[in-house]
Amino acid sequence: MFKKKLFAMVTTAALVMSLLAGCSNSSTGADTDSKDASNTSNPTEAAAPAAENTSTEFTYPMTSGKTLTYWTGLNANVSANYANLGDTPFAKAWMERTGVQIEFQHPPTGQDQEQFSLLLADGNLPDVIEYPWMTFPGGPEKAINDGVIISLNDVFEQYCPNLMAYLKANPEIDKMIKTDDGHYYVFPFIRGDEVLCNTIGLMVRQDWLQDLGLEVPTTIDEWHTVLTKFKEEKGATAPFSYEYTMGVLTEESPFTYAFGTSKNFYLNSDGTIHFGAVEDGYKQFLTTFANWYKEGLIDQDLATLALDQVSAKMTNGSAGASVGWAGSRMGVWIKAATATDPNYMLEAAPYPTLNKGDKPEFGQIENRYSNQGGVAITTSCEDIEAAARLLDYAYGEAGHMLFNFGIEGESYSIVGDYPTYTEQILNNPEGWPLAQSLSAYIRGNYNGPFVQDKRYLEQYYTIDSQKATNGIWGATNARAHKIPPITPTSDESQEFSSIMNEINTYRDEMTLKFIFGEESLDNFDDYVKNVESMGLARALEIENAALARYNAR
Amino acid sequence: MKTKRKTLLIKWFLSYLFILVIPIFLSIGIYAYSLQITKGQANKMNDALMSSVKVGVDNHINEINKLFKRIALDLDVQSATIIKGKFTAKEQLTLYHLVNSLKNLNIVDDFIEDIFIYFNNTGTVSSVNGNMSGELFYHLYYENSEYDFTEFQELMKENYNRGVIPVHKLNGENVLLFTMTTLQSNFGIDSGTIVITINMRSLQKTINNMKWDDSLKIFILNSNNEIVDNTEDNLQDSELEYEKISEGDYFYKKVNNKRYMVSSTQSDYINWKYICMTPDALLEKNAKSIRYFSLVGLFLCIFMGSYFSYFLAKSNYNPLQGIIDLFRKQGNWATNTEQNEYRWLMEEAQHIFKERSDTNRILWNNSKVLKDYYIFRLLEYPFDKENGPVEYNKFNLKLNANYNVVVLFPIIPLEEQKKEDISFEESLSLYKFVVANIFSEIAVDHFNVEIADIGDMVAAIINLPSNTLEMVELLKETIYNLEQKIESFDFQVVSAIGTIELQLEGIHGSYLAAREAAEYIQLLNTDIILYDDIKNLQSKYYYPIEIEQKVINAIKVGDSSAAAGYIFKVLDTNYNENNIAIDMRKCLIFDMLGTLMKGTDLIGCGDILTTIDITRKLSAKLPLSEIKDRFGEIVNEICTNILDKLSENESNNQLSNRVKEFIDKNYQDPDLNISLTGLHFDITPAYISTLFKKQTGDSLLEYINSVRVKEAQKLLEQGISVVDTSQKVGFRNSGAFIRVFKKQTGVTPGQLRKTI
Repeated sequence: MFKKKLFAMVTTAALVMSLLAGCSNSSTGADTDSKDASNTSNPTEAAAPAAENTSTEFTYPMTSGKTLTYWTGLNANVSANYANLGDTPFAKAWMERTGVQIEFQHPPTGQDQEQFSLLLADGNLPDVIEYPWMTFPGGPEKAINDGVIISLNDVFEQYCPNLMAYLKANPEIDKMIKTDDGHYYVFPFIRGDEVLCNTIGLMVRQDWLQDLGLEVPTTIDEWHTVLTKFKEEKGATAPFSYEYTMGVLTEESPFTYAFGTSKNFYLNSDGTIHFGAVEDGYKQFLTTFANWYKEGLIDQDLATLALDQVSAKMTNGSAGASVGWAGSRMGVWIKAATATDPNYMLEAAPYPTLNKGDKPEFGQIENRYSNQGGVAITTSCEDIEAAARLLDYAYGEAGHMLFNFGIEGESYSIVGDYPTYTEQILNNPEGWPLAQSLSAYIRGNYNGPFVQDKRYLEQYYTIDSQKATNGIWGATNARAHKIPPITPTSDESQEFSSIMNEINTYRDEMTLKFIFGEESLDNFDDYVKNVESMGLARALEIENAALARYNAR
Repeated sequence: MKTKRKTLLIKWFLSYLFILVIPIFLSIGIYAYSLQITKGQANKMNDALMSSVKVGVDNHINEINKLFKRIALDLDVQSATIIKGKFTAKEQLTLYHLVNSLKNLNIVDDFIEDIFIYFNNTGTVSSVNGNMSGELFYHLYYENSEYDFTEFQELMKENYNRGVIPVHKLNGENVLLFTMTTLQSNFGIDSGTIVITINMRSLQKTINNMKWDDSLKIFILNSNNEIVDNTEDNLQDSELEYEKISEGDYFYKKVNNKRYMVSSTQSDYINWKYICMTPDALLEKNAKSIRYFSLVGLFLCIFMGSYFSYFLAKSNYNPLQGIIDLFRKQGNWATNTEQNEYRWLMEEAQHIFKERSDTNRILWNNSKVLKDYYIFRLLEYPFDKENGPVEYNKFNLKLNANYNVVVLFPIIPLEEQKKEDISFEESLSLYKFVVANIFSEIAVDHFNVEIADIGDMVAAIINLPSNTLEMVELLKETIYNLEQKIESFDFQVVSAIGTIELQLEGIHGSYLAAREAAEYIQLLNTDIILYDDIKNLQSKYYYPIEIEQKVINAIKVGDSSAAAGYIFKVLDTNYNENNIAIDMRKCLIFDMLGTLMKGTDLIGCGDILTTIDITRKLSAKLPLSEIKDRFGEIVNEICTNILDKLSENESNNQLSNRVKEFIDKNYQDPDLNISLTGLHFDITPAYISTLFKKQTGDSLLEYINSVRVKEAQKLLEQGISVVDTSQKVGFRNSGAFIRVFKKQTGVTPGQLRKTI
C-alpha cells in the first residue's frame, strides 16, 4: 500500500524539457545494429525532428484496429473507482487517439509480484508488461536472454521517434534505461524534472516553534533542543515520531544523513559504493539516537510505528516532528489537524547537519529513471509496431499532455499557457479525493511509460508549506551520493541478495538494540565485524563492478 | 315437468362430474408430492449449505483457536505480560519481536483483520499495527459508541476463556473480537488479553459465498441468543432462542410477515449455531410452476369436463325426453314431482297397459253385444243384400248352409213362481242363458246354431243343410230334448218354430213366422208350436185340426160341455172375429157336424146321428146364437147317448189307466217322458199331458216322477246307493234325482238312506 502512495507523491521541479512532435521515422529499412543505437544520441537540449522522412508520414490514430494485451498492476487510486484501467477516460482517450485497442490485464491488488512470477512460469505472455524490470531476477538483460522480453533498440529506431528524440536530448537518462550491454528493454517512466526526484524530508510543528520562539532546527544540536522543548513545553510524549516500519523512510533517515552516512549503500565521493551501516558515522548516529530515545525525545514505540499511529500522534499533539512526504504526510496531517486546531501548521526542515550553516551532503533523492512503470514488449507480441507506436505516443507532445493532464476541456484547460486542472478534478463532484479523480484522467500522479511533468506536482501541492519543501529538502548534495540504476548480472544479483538479506536483518536488529540500549555501543565494532563476516566485501565488490559497467556505458 | 327433467339430467350430469374428482385428487396429490420433493431438495441443499457454512466458518474459528494457543505460548508474550507499570527501553525489543510475530501470524489467515494483545499491567497494546498505548489503540482502531475507552479497558481486563465481543466501530465497520486471556503467569495474575479480530464483512462474505440463493438468510446465533453477525437489522436477537434450536431440526418461523423455514447446525469449536432461514416463497418457487400447471389443468379439467358432462348427460337424456314427450302427449300426466323419469315412465306404461287390457275386454264384451245385436237385426229386419254379406262376415256367424229356421224359446214361469214376479224377472236372464247354452250344446251335434236374446225369449237361428221332413223331425227331436232337460229347472220353456227359409234373406221371414207361432202358445197350450201347424189358422176360416181333435176327444168321453165349448169358441171366432162368409159358414157348420159324426163313429155310436135331424135344425142362415143352441142340443144329445154307451163300457178303459200302466212298466227307461208317452199312444205330448191331468188330477210329469220316487224309496230302503238308485229308476243323473226326490218326499235320498 505504501508503495502506491509513494508513487502518487512526487516532488516538484522545473521541467526543462521540450517535447518535439516528432513524427516519424518510418524507415522500414535495414536492421541497424542495436548496439549502434546508443551512439546516435547527441547531447543537445532539443532534438530536431528527423529531417528526412523517406516515406509517408506516420500519423495517429492507426487504422488497423489492432488489439494488444497490456499487463499492469492497477493503482489503488484507480481501482477505487474502476475495475479495469481500460474503463478510465484516460485509457479510452489513449486507445482512441492511437487507434490501438488495449485489453488491460490486472493482477489482484498486492499480488503483482506473485502474479508476475506465475505469468513467467505459464509462458503465455501478454503483448506488453508494465513492471519494475530492474528487479527482474538477474536483471533486464536476463529477461531478454530468457526470451521474456525483446530488445527494443531496433524498435526504438524504427517506430519510436518521440522517445528517441527525448533520449537524444537527455543522454543521462538514455544511459539509465539501457542494460550494461546497451540493450533498450523498456519504455521508461521518467521524472521530467529533478524536483520530482525529491519528495521526502523532515517536518516540524511550525506553530509550536513559533510559540516556543524557536527557529526551524538545522543541526543535530538544534534538533535536540527543539525536541526537548517540545517534550517539556508542549507535553509531547513522542516529540519525534515517524513510520519506522516504512522501509524507505527509515532508509532515508535525515539524522543518519546528518552524520555523513547512510543506513544502506551510497556513492562515496571517491566514486565507489560504500555500505554506510558499518561506518563510524552510523555509530555516531546510533549514539545520538539512543540518547534521544533514552531522553524520551523519540517515540518509545519507535520500532513498530506505522502510519496510523504516527498520523494520530502528529495530529493530536503527541509528536511535534516527523519524516515523510510533502503530499501524503505533510499535506494530509495539516488538513486533518487544522480542522480542530486552526493554528496547527507543519513546515519543512532541511536535512540537518552537524555544523550550522553547512550544506547537507546527504538527502533523499531519486533517480529520474526510477525502475517503476516501465513497459516492456514481450516475445509473445506479434504486432511489435503497434505496441511500439502505442507506447511511443506518450513521449510525444499530445501523449505527454494526455498522460500528465488528461483530456483538454475535461480534466484540464490551458490558462495562459499553463495546463490547469479543472474544477471537476480538483473538487470532484462525486467526492473523490484528488488522487482518485486525477487517476481517472492521468497517470502523472503515479507512474507509467511517459515523462512526468512537474506542473502536475505544482498543482498537486496546495499548501504553502508543501510548495516550500522543494527548496528546503532539495538543497543538498544528495545527487552526488545517489547510486545510478546499476544492474548486477544474474549470478551476482543472486549472491548479492543472499548476502544482503542476512546483513540487513542483522543490521536492523542491532540498530534497534543499540537505540533501545539493549546493546551497548561499545559493541559496535563487534557488530561491524559480524557484518563484514557475512560477506559485505563481496557485496561491495558486486556493486562496484556493476557501477563500473554502468559508468562504462 | 321442468323440475322433473332436471332431476335426472342433473343426476347424470353430477355423476359424470363425479369422474372429475379423480383428476382433481390426482393433481392435488401430484402437486403435494412435488411440493414435498422440492422442499426435500431445498432441505438437502440447506443441509449441504449449512455444513459448508459450518466447515467454512469453523475452519476460521479453529484457526483462531490455534492462533490463540500459539500467541499464548509465545515467549515474548509471556515475558511481556509480567511486566508492570511501564515498558522500559529494554523491553521494546521484545515488543518489536512480538509485533513482527503477530504480523507473520496475521498473514496466515486473511480472514483475520487484526491481532492484538492487551497488557493489563502496562495498559498498552501490541498489535499488528505496532505497539502503542491502549488509549491510542482504542481511538485509532476500536473507537465505538457502545464502549468508551474505560469500558473497553475493563472489557480487556476481564478474564476470558473464549469470548466473542461484537464491536460496531464508529467508522461503520462491524468486527468481532475473539478474546482469550493469556496463560496464567507464574505470578497467578491474568495480565493480558489476546484479541483476534475478524471483520463481520469477511465473515458474511464467507457465508454469503455459499448461499445458493440471495433470499436466504444465514446468520450466527450465540448462546446469549444474540445474532453475532447481525447487520441485517430486520432480525431481532430475541426472536430465536439458542437453547431451543437443535441441529437437524426444521421449523417454520414468521419474520416480518414472511414465513421462513429455519434449519441450523452447531459449531464444533464455539457456542455458535449457524442458522439458515429459507423463505417459504423460495421453497415454493419451484413448486410454483407445478402448481400453476396443476391449477390450469384442473380448471381445464373442470371446465371441459363440465361441458362434456353436460353434453353427454344431455345427449343421453334426449331420447328419454323424447319418450317422455311421447307419453306426455297421451295426456295421462301424473303430477308426482318426486319421481324420476324412469319411475314415471313405468307408471305411465302400467297405466297404458291396464287401459289396453280394459279396452280389449270391453271390446270383447261389445263384440258379443254387437253379435247379439246383429243377430237381432238379422231377425228383426229384412236382410240388406248390399251390406249384409259384409256385416255377416264381420261377426263370423256359422250360418253357411242353405236353409235357416228360427226357433223362439219364450221362457214361461211355473205356477208357483208366478206369485213371486220379482224373482222371476231377476232370474230371467239366467234362464235365457241356461236355455241358450243347453240348446246350443244339444243342437251343435246336428246343426249350426246362432243364438240371441230378444226380450224374454231366446231366439235361435238354426242352419239346416236341407229342407226335408227328416230335418224338421230332427229339429223337433232336438227341441224336445231341450225341453226335457229344462224340466229339471224351475221354469218352463216353450218353442216356436218358424218356417224353413232359404239363405240369410229368409231368416227374417222365418223369424216373423216363429213370432206368429209364439202367439199361439197360450192358445194352443202346447210345448212346441210349428208355424206350419198354425199357418192355416191364419186364414179367416178358423177351425184347426187340434180343436177338431179336442172336440172329438170330448165327444169320445161324452163331455158335452167341453165339446160344446170348443165348438162355440170356433163359432165365435169365425163369426165374430173373422166374420166369414155364408158359404164358409155353411162349410164350417158342416165341418163341425162332420167332426161330431167322426166322434160318434169312433165310439161306435154313429147311429145316433141318424136319429137326429141335423141338417134340418142347422142352417147357415141362422144367427149365431141359434146355431150355438142347435150345436148345444146336438152335442148334448150325442153325449147323452155316448155317456150311456160308455157307462156300459168300463171306466177301466180310460186312457189315464193305460198311461199309468205304460209308465209303471217303463219308468226305469231314462228316455221315458211326456213325448215318449205321447208317441206311444199316438197323441201329442201336450195333449196327453193335459188329458192325463184332466182324468187323474196329476200332471203326467209329476206322475212319472212320483212312480220313480216311490220305486227309489223302495230301492233306497233296500240299501242301494243314491247313484245306483237314480239310474235304476230312470234318472239320467243323480242331481235331478235328488232334487226331484226332495221335492216329493221332503228329504234327500241320502237323508232317507241314513234314517234306515
